Order: sequence, then C-alpha cells, then structure tokens
Amino acid sequence: MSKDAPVSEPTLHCPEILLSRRRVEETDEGARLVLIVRVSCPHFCNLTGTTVLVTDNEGGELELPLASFNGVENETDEFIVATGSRGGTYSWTASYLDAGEGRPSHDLVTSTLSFDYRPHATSLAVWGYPAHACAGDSVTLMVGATCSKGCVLEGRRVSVLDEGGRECAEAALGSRPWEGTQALYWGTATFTLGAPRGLQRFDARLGDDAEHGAAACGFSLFVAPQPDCILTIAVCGQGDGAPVVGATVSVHPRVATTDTEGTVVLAACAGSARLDAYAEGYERYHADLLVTGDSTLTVSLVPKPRYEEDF
Amino acid sequence: MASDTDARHAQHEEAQVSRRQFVKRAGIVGGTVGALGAAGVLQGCTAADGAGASSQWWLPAKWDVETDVVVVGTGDAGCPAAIRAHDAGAKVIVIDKGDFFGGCSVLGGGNSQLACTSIQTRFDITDDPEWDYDDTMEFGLYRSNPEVLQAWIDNSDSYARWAEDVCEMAWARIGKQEPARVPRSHLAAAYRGQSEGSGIVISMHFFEQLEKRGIEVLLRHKMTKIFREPNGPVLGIEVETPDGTIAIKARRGVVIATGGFKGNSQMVRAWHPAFDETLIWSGWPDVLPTGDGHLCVMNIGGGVVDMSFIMEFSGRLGSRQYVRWDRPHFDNPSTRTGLPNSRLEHIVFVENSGRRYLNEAGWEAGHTLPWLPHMVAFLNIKGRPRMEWMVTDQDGAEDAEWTSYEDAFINPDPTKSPCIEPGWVAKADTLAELARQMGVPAAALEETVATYNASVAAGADPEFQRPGPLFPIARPPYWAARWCRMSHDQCTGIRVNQKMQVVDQMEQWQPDGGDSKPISAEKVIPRLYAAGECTGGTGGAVRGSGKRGWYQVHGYIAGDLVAKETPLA
Ligand SMILES: Cc1cc2nc3c(=O)[nH]c(=O)nc-3n(C[C@H](O)[C@H](O)[C@H](O)COP(=O)(O)OP(=O)(O)OC[C@H]3O[C@@H](n4cnc5c(N)ncnc54)[C@H](O)[C@@H]3O)c2cc1C
Ligand SMILES: [Zn+2]
Ligand SMILES: [Zn+2]
Repeated sequence: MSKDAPVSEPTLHCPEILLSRRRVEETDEGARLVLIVRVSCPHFCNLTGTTVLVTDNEGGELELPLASFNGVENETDEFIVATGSRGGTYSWTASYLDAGEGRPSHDLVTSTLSFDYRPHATSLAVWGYPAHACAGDSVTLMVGATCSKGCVLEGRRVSVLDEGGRECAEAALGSRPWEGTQALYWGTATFTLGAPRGLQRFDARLGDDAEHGAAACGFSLFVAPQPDCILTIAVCGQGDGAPVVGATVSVHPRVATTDTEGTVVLAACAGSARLDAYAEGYERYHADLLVTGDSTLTVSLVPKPRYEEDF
Repeated sequence: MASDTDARHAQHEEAQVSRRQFVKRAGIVGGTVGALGAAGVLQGCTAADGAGASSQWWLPAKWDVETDVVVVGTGDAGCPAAIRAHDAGAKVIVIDKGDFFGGCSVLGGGNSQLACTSIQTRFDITDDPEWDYDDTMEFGLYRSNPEVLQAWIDNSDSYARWAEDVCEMAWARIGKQEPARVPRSHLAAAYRGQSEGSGIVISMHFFEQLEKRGIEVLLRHKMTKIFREPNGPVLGIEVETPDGTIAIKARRGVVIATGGFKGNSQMVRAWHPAFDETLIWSGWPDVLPTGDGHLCVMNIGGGVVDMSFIMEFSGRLGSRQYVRWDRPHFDNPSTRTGLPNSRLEHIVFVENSGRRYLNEAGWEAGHTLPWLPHMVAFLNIKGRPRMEWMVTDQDGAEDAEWTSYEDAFINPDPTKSPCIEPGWVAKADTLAELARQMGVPAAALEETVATYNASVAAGADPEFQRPGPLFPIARPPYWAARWCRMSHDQCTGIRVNQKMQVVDQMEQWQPDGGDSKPISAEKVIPRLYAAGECTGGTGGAVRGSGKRGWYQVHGYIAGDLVAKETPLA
C-alpha cells in the first residue's frame, strides 16, 4: 500500500450555493414562497447532514440540513418562507460554511433571493385584435384584468386610449374568468380606426380603487391601406417539385397556410412587399417583391438535410 | 509515522537541490528549461515515500497487484481494448471508479460512425475513404490530426466485423448523421429487451464478452496517478479502492479510457473562462467524466489538444435532467425528460432581466457549440445563474404542444416523466403574473412583449432581425418554460498518435522539438495508450454525432497494440 497523501487535494473546497424558488402562493397575510437550497462542491462532496443557514431581512434565521445528495448536488428539502402583509421587497439569504472536521472544509458561500410583494397587484391582458386592419375598419378586441389575490373584478372598467392619449373605447369586465385562466375577468371593446396608416399604438388602462392599484397594457395594430391586388402563391419542394401542404406564407401583414394543392391566396397592396415562407423540414424562404397587380408566384423551398441526432 | 515524515522531508530537500543544480547547469537558457526541470522535481516531491526507495522515487512503495495490461474505464473505448488485449494473450485488469459498469456509454444513444465497412456494403451503401476523411475534416473545422483520423478510417471495417464475429453484436441498420455524405452511423440490433440502436446494447455485449473471458473488472476503483519512470515507460497506476490505495503494476502497459471532463467544472472554466458558473448536472453518469485521465496523463508529460473547443452542448426544456435513469442496470430503461421544443414560431426568448437577447430563429435545440451565435448570446447574459426562458401565449402553447403537458406546468415533478423542475415552468393569466412566477421583472417582461408585438404588427424585428412571419404573444393564458443548456460531451482531449499511444509532450521543450513532423514521428510515452472521448485529434473541433464509433475503434486499436508490448521484468 502506498502511503502517499493525495497532494492535489486542497483542504479548503469552494462550493457553490443556490437559493432557488419553486413556487409562489398568495395567502391572506401575504405571499408564501416555496424554496430549496442546493450546494455543490466541485469535488463532489457528499455534504448531507451539514446545514445551511437561511436568514431574512428582519434578522429571522432558519437552519436547514442538506437532506439529499445525487452524486453532485446536495439539496435541502423544500421549505417555506413568507412575506409580511405589507407590500415591498423581501429577501432571503442562504449561507453555507462547513468547518469539516476530519475531512476537507468548505468555504463560506451565500446566495440571495428577493421577491417583490405587491398585495392585490393588478395586471392586464389584451388579445383577440386582428393582426392588421384598414383605415375606417371597426376593431373589436378583448381586455382582461386580474388581481394577484384572485379578486372578482366584475364590473370594473378598462379604457382603451389611442396614441394621442384619447379614450377611443371602453370595456366592462364580465362575471366569469376567461377560459383557461384562474381569475382573468374580461370584456370587449370596439372602436373605429382613424386615418393614419402604419403602426398605431394603443394602451389599455385599469384605474385604481380602494384595494387595487392601476394597471396598463400596451398593444399595437398595423393599419394597412385597402388591398388592391391578389397574389396566388404556390409552394413546392425544391428537387421533386411536389406541393408543400401546410406551409406558412406571409406577405406582410397577411399570413395564410397552404391548402392541399400547396397554394395560398393573399390580398396585397401594390408596392414593395416582403414574402416569407416556412414549412417543417425546409429551410426558411424570404423574397422582396414589387407588387404591380394580380399575379401568380411559385416558391420552392429547399429541404433541410435529414440526419439522425444523437440523443 | 515520524520517520515517514522525515524521509519525505529529506526527499524534498534533495529534490530542491537537484533542481538548483539543474537550473545552474542550464545557465542562461533559463525559463523554458527551468520549467522542464521543475516538472521533473515536482514528481520527485509527490512520489516521495522514503522506505529506502530514495533512488527510485517514481516507484510506489510496493506493487500490490501485477498484471500485463490495465484498462481504465468500462465505456465504449475501454471494453474493446480489454477484450482485444486479452485475446492477444495478455492478462488484463479493467478498473472503473463508477459503481456500475459502462460509464456514459450505457446512457448514450447508440449511433456509431464507422467508415467504409463491409456492413455498409451489406446495406448497399457505397462509402469512400476520401469522403470519410474530407467530411470529418470539414466538420471538425480542419483540426483533425490527419493520421489519427486516418487510423479510424483504416480500422473501421475490421472493428465492425470483429464486433459481430467476436462480440456477437449485430449491426441492424445504418443511419445518416452529420457530417456524412453517405450513411455511416451503425446501429446495433435490439438485445435482451433494449431497443435497436440504443447505446446500452453495445455495453451489454461488451460486458458479456468480458465476463465470458473471465477478465477481471474492478468497479469503485479509481485511478489517481500513473507511475512513469522519468523519461521512460509507464509502469503502472495508483488506484483508490474501497479498502484503501493500491498500486497496480502493468507489465505491458496502461490504456486510459476515462471519458471526457464535462463533470469537472474547474477544468471547463480553466479552458473556457466564459463558463464561469457550474454547468448543470445533466444526468446520472456525469459524475464520472471528470478529466481524471487527462490530469494523470498531463502529470507525467502527456498533453492535450484543442481544449478550448471544450464540448458540445445540448439541452432540455423545463427539466434539469438530460436523461433520467435511477441506478443504471441493463434492464432499467431511461425516462423521457423535458417539454417539446421544436416549434418556436410563437415563442420569444427572454433572459434574467426579462428582455429578449437573441434571434429565436437561429436557435437550435440539438447539439450546439460554444461559438454559435445563440451560444454566444447565452454566454453574454449578465445574470447568474443565466436563465433562458421561452415565453408564449395560448396560441403558442398549442402550436408547441405544451398544452398536452399542462399538468407538468401546474404540478411539476422532477421524478416523473417528463421530469419537470419546479420553478422552471410557469403559466399565468397575465404577463405580469407570469413574470412573478418566472422570477424576472414584470415591467420588463410586459415591455418586452409589447415591443415584440409592435414588431409583429410592423412586420419586422429591428432588434434581432427574426425572420417572419411573426406572431403576437397575446391570447391568455401565458406560458413559460426555462431552457437548460447541458454539456453533452467533449470534442477534444489527450494527444495521441495513430496507434493511440500518448505523445510525450515534453519533447516539444527540447531544442529540436520545434521541427514540424507528423504525429507518428513524435516521441511517445512508452506503454501508455489512450482511447475514447478522453482523446483528441480524430474529429478536430467538433465531435458531431455518432462518435462512439471512433471510440470503439480507438479501443480496438489500443488493446491489440498494448498486448504486444514486450513485458517489463
Ligand atoms: C445521455 C447521453 C447521450 C449520448 N448520446 C450519444 C449518441 O447517440 N451517440 C454518440 O456517439 N455519443 C453519444 N453520447 C456520448 C457518448 O456516450 C460518449 O462520448 C461515449 O460513450 C464515451 O465513451 P468512452 O468509453 O470514451 O467514455 P465513458 O463511456 O464515459 O467511460 C469512461 C469510464 O471511465 C471511468 N473513469 C473515469 N475516470 C476514472 C478514474 N480515475 N478511474 C477509473 N475509472 C475512471 C468512468 O467511470 C467511466 O465509466 C451521449 C452521452 C450521453 C451522456
Ligand atoms: Zn468538497
Ligand atoms: Zn384584489
């Protein structure tokens, strides 16, 4: 047996620590965060049984054992910390130091996590508006509002302001949340687009009330001139020339998917335009067009090379 | 005890003295030669053991075990080396520091690139050695060593036939993988419940062949040092075992087949400082490839090539595990991890600050390299740990097929397929709520999406030039999943020649060492071979896919040659 000490082994290891957040839950008294701490040593030390110290910004302390080791990372079990009921930034710091009797010791490392608690924080979503419209068109869209505590916002009003800050529409929030959401109360707003063409920005705004702060959400519409040309675009694969079904083709601002013949028909305005096309298994295609009238175009997509991937 | 320490102390002094003498003799040549001297002295200090061995400090106090050949590692490279060495008449011991057989090789996919084989002919595939050479050179950015690459081409066919005739494996199919102009990726037939083309099948066959020959395989035996006579041959290795440290003498030689170094974050950082945070552990066996072979070889005068190319990366969405496999066994299948990530049209990527940081269309889920644009964008993220979130709306979640994993978004469970990590997925009524779950600033995320949606409406993305058509992120609820970049495997490593002999890097310090010569003419470290992912040279800067084939051929070459070395007394 060789009696050599392994000279390359440092006696002080520099581990890494990470305090990470797994879940956030709202309660009546504030927010509860489910956290976990991971400590890993580049020498793959099994540190289970040693402890991590978690402190909050009011001097509270929690000592937690590293409970499991997967060969690389040591983890605590999940644990819960809570904010107070007042809004503000709360933070927690996890630190690890291991004096390591009879084995290498581990240097002090820390990791801090902060959470901005806003009681009854409201926020908005805007959707359902068309990708493009023409001057003079009537536009209908959906606006929804939610409170972080899930309050029922039925009857609250959301106004829509145009670029100049003038209210152009209003929505009253209904009684039931939007499908698939927890508490997004929503309504519709309708307004008529004015003359200016191009990109127009709007803002949806929810005012405050006794419990809730205000919220806003910006969105944009592209106001196009009335189209005066029809483009018929056939998409095929380069090489075999076979039609590509289900390819997405756009001549901004219009987008369509090719039919069973590999064709789309898109309205367009005379002038310069950008054509984009893609389909699974092919390279992306792009061309700059000068549209002068109704026309028929053929786009041939270059197949991507097919390889088996290592997994 | 005391006498031991004294002896070591005395040894140290002696070494110091000899270095001073050496430097004095070297005179004004200074630095370079001094460094060489220091390397020799360092060994003198570390190996000092007293016990009357003062004149032969490079030897262990005693050899605990003797054999002809020691193979270090039970993966795709180590196994064929051991089998071939045995079949050439050598007594072989195989060691592995893992507590199961097979290393990364049991977990990997089974694609094995082999060149110009009769198996290809059987499948009506016509290959050409020049194509093999050119394809690999081009793919590896012209950094392959010509002779080492040629060795793979020249030995592929005999290896492929040997795998069938001697190892009872059946090649069932040949697939096409980068960088091949014809299919070269040999896939083994299904075996004992494991599917066709899986990597574990290869390990199973090798395991059975080792067993059949009664070759000793010692698990939980870790090589910690190679014993080499100064400027002379390798004599054996030092091994940590559950019962203490032993020295194994290898009369004919040692084959290093220890795999890559992706599990060694210090080594990764040393060669590529942009990786300044620990890479996420990507699956069970990553604790094994920690560069032990590289370090032991460098310690006795071997070298490494192209190490700044570091490795290939891959990743998973919403999961921190590349593959999940509870204690690997040959009858224990692995579990699928991560969410679908191939349809990105409706998805924007944001980093720690809640802002976009790349052109999403240039992103790739598959194997990526540190110098590709999206990897560079990732490495430029300021926050630590770097976060990359894919954010979308209900339309995008449907398009990306995340909606069929809704339960994984709501009740993430890292232990059940698809092994989603809590905190790495989010679903919310508004973007602000989504941001709160993700842990990124809500106002920034709202602004990012509003700006992006304006680009969508305008039909151009001035920030990152993402090509159209672009889709807005609008319809609630909103979804997000975090991408996990993981080291996949190493492209480069120990410098070997075409016979898989480790080149003696010290020769380059010699006055005539600067002459350009083919690697076959460079001096080697006698009786030291290396094979597999721990080596560099076959494929240059990029590993590509299916390089298990290279590694198997490496082992096949090394095993035969090491067995034919004349035994030491
Ligand atoms: C999930 C996954 C998927 C992959 N998919 C593919 C694929 O489809 N195709 C492909 O070509 N490649 C793939 N790879 C990569 C491929 O598996 C490896 O490159 C290949 O198996 C390496 O073989 P190897 O024999 O060189 O090393 P390994 O299989 O890593 O074996 C090295 C062995 O050496 C042992 N060892 C290390 N240090 C010591 C020491 N000091 N003492 C004793 N023993 C030691 C280790 O324990 C290990 O068992 C994949 C890898 C992974 C992890
Ligand atoms: Zn440690
Ligand atoms: Zn409320």
